[in-house]
Amino acid sequence: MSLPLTQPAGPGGATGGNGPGGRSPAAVRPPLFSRERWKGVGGALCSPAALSLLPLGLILLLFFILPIVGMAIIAFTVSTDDGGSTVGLDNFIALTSGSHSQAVLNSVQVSLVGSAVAAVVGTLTAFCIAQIKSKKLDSVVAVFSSVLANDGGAPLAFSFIVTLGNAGIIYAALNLEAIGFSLYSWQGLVVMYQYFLIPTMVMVTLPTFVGIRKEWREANAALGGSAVTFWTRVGLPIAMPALLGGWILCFGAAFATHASAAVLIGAGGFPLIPLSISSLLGQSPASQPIAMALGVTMVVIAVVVLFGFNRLQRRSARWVQ
Amino acid sequence: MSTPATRTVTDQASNEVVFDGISKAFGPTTVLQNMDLRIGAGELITVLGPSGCGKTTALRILAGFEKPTTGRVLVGGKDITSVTPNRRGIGMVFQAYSLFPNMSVQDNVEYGLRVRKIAAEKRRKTATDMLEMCGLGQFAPRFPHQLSGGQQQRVALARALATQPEVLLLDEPLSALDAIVRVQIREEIRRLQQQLGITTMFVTHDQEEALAIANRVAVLNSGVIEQIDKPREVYQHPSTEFVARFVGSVTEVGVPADYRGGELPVQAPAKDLDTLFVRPEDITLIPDEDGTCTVVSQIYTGERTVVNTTTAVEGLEVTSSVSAAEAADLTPGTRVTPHVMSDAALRVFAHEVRERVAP
Amino acid sequence: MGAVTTEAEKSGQQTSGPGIAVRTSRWLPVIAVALYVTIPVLCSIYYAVFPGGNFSLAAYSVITEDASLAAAASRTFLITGLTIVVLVATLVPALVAVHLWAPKLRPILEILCTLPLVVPPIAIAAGVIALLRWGAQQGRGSVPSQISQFLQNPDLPLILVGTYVVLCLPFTFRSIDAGLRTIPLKAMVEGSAILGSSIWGTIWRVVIPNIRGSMLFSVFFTTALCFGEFSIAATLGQQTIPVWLYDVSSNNFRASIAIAVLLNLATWALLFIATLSADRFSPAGRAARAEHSLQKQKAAAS
Repeated sequence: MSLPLTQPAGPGGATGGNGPGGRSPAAVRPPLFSRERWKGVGGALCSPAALSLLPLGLILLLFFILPIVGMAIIAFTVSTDDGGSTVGLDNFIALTSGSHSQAVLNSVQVSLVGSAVAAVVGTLTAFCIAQIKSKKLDSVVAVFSSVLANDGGAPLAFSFIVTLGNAGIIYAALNLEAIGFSLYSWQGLVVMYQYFLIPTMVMVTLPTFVGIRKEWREANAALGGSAVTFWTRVGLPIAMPALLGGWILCFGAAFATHASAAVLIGAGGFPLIPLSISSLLGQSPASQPIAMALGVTMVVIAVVVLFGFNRLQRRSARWVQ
Repeated sequence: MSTPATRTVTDQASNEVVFDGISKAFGPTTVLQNMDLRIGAGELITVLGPSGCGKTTALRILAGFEKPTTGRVLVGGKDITSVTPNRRGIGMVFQAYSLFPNMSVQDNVEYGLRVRKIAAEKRRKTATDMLEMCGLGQFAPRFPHQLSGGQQQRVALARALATQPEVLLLDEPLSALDAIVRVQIREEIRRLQQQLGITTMFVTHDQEEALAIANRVAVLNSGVIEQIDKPREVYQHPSTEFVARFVGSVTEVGVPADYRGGELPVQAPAKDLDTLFVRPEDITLIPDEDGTCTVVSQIYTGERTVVNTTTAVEGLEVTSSVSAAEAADLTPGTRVTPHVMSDAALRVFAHEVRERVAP
Repeated sequence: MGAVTTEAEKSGQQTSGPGIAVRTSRWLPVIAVALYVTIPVLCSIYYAVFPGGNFSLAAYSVITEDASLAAAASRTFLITGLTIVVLVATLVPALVAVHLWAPKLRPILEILCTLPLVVPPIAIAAGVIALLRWGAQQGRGSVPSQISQFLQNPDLPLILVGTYVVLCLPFTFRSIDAGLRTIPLKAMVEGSAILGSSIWGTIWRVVIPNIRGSMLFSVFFTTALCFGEFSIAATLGQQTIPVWLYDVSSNNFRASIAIAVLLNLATWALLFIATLSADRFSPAGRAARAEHSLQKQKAAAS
């Protein structure tokens, strides 16, 4: 595969660390407001390029920058007693208690467990695929995993309801009721999320395992090392950045998933951040700032996740080239 | 030299390597056929051959990465055919990229000692000495991706030697490097090998490299050793047509059975003629209005100039290597007559030619 | 090459590589994951077309009977078509311009286009709602209020087109940017100008055909995303196909499953085509295929 279909792998992601509104160039050398820094940019704006860039700029401004800035403004605005408003963290403090804190905790719990399971299973799968040493299989898996990693929509939840729901075909066949499994719980979410988390993990780690060179194994053997020495001292340390990066990415993907969770859980029962945001938005205008605060929280977590992923990804890419 | 790595060899005085009737087949393809090769203790043998001739397989059999289909491998008189690679105590340098990318140069070189559970203090000292010896002292804290290809191969060499193995294997270690670096590291390998007196097998497809570095050269073709001899002998007295053609460049002509040097007859090899293989430096070109050859080009290589000529015989070209002074008279278009001082290195007799040409 | 006995062959094969047990066990996780991936799909298909154990396409009668599905589908198709047009019409000129005239602006554009990746769609939905509500609050008949209404028109929810373009940007930007990097854009435009073509004519006739892998990827990826997007459409109360599925599942579950299966398979197919076309038309992919066919010819010749 030459193009990353899902979040990872590209060079662009790292720059996301600048956060919303960070419009400075990626390579920061001279200070932000110095003349050299913007030398040539002014000239560039007068060129025909400006005209061609305008429509895209407008779209980004209207449908991305303004909404995010608006969300942030509302989230940090607190109404005062005299009817005015001021900047404050009250909306965020509200998240630390009651059902909202439950949503945050649930989201973190489901994402942590889900991504950990996916990390283990995905790593094992990618490792085995790499050991089979078939170029054909590698490229087939690359395509499949990038397709599945983009899953997580409403149809996914429907297929799981039919399969593992209370009247599900596999649920009945394996008598899962006996072990107390329910799809409509956090365990159910974890199981369902694996559908796109495992492919994400495979997609991220497979190139690393395929990139472990025969020469490294043989050098290890020639130097007297066993298979165990190789994996503990060479193989795993080399794969580790990709494994951690994949895990972080899975955490982020699980954290941001909304559609399938909404179909499976609905509005009540088991609050998650995305579900809380959408239900708060449907309620009275008074609850809107809380929704915006939750949104800002999500963005911050997503930024941290992507930043971490990118740093690890770069390191492992350097090693297995 | 003490050998803490020694596990299999008790008598270290004779780290002689013996390939005893080694054959190797991958499925239906035979890669090595009944190969016998003895590498004396402290000797450096280069195994030379075109790609796919089995030379790397032979090296990998000695390293233990491939099992021979038949035959035995002995090191120091002991049969190691069924010993796993990590218990053979053999040092190996690969073509490229074999350094562990997650470790510094220092840690790479210490790796073999760490595996052998050598105390940290001693380990560090050995590795540092090894790096110094390879001229890499200041690179110890660097990581492989911060080094050039030549430096990486030096580290790989230092790493292979750090465990003081009784046998060193080099699998085309210079093929990924620039010409200049290649010669430098070649010299360095030779120096270290002689200094440590380590039995060495060096696999390459580059004949210049093979001749320059070896005590003896083994020329391998289609899984069979065609000739094992000193570099000079292999070049000057090739024992087969393959060796004559593969090592150095050669002009092939058909000559009568009683030909003993003098003017070189310009005719293609044929059934009733002996075939003569002549090196460029053994051919002199004498300008001659009625000459049998016409100079087509000159290639200036510094000390010598290679002169290519065509003949009336289709496909037959005579190549000579002359000094700059001689080359002045041999401008393209000049007609010349080729002469050979004495009978040439390799003569294939007419009856052999007959068998070959008309089977 | 000498003749080799079958015995030698056998032992040669046996000695190289690990044992058959190890080789088989490597497939186990792969098979397990493959089963995990296929079983839910098979179960949904079974549920949709084998109600009570007998084959029946009755569940699919909603397609003809339920007008709300048709409305949702046509809305989705319209949004998808517009999103593709707007995306290509804004992103391609912007990228070509940056590559040709203003390479200094490329990093800025890259950051802006990649940022939406960082923001979960539900957060974008929240921000969009905040903005639309703010507009509506500016009083009946005021310009912001009218814009807000215009963007949310249920017949043509332009707000979804705009946000979907933003959601697709990170992926399509990378694809088209990479595509433009592999071609000698400047030489093409200059060469074509000497032959008398205008710049946009050149882009249409020369540049776009040369990055058709990236273009196809962008089109198919965008289609897949627009077909499947749920968070923003549901939050803004626009009934696209995924939202319809959600709404209808409470009273006609089998129908929602039946349509979900179709939607799922369609999305996969689109993503497959996107991935393969990105592969197929990339220079690296083409070179690899050329090499492959050359080797085949050689093998056939010898």
